[in-house]
Amino acid sequence: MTTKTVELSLGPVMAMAEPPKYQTGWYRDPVTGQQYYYDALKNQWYVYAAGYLYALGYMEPAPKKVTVAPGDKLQVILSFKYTGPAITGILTRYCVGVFGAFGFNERLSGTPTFNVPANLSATPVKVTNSYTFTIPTNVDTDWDDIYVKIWGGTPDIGGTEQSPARIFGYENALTVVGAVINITEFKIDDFKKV
Amino acid sequence: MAQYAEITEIVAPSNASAGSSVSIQVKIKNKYSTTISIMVGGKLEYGVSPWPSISFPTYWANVAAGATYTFSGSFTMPDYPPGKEIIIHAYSCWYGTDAAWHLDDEKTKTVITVVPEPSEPSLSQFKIDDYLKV
Repeated sequence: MTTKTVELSLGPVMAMAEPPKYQTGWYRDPVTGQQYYYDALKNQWYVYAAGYLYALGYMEPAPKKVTVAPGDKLQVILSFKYTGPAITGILTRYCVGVFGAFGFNERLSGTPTFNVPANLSATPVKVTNSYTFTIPTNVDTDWDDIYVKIWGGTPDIGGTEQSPARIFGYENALTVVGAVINITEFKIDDFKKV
Repeated sequence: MAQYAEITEIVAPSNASAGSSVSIQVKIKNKYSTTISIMVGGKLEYGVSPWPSISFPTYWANVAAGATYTFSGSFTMPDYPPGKEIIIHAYSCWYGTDAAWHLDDEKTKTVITVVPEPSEPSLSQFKIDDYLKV
């Protein structure tokens, strides 16, 4: 493992006309000492922590909010464009949880595998897969982020569970209701002789 | 037996996958004692006729006595089951003093349909397509 020093400090913000082009490899923030890994092929940065690589920048603002309550079923559908031979057994991990400064705290997860039919034409075709969560009774109101990642398969699309081939998520995608007892406007509604 | 425009060789791959572009060459020798105009033509023979033509961007030339001219052409391999034969049927003509083209020689070459080689998986635009209560 070769460690390189990043020329640009990740502490103070600097204005740049154009971001530099990095090669695949390891980098270290000279201010914080934090190690990062960059995959030029996937244009994906990872932060290194406790032996794992965590993809940076894979969470996006959610395009909508879906309201869920305990007992509801939430379906999450992934998609991608594909060309190539048939693939069997692509590994997936669908998650619902809390995304924060230290990564994604998974509260619900599903790990189905799926196959992809061959597409040997030059035109990519859309491939989809889905997983359905059952919202548990112990759901908390901050379980509002979702993400999904894929890796592996035969032939291998690359990646591992810790450093997947592809990862994508939405922040603030869910509104969780009915999870906690919520009492409002408590009052004596009336009193009368009967 | 060719009179003046002898097809000496058809250069083409022995097999090709359906939908792929196949390049061929038809070599025609002028057997006459002076320069003559020679034309090439071709068709693919498979299944039921009518059969598609082969495209030759330059389909005629003035060829010197004894010289061989190479005509380049191409066709798209038909969607035919793997293992089946596609026959390239090439023809030659010479231009006579009667201002007419005269059919002269013909030659065939077989191309076998094969399953295309699988390529590497290529993924793009990975995302969460939708999420909803069901």
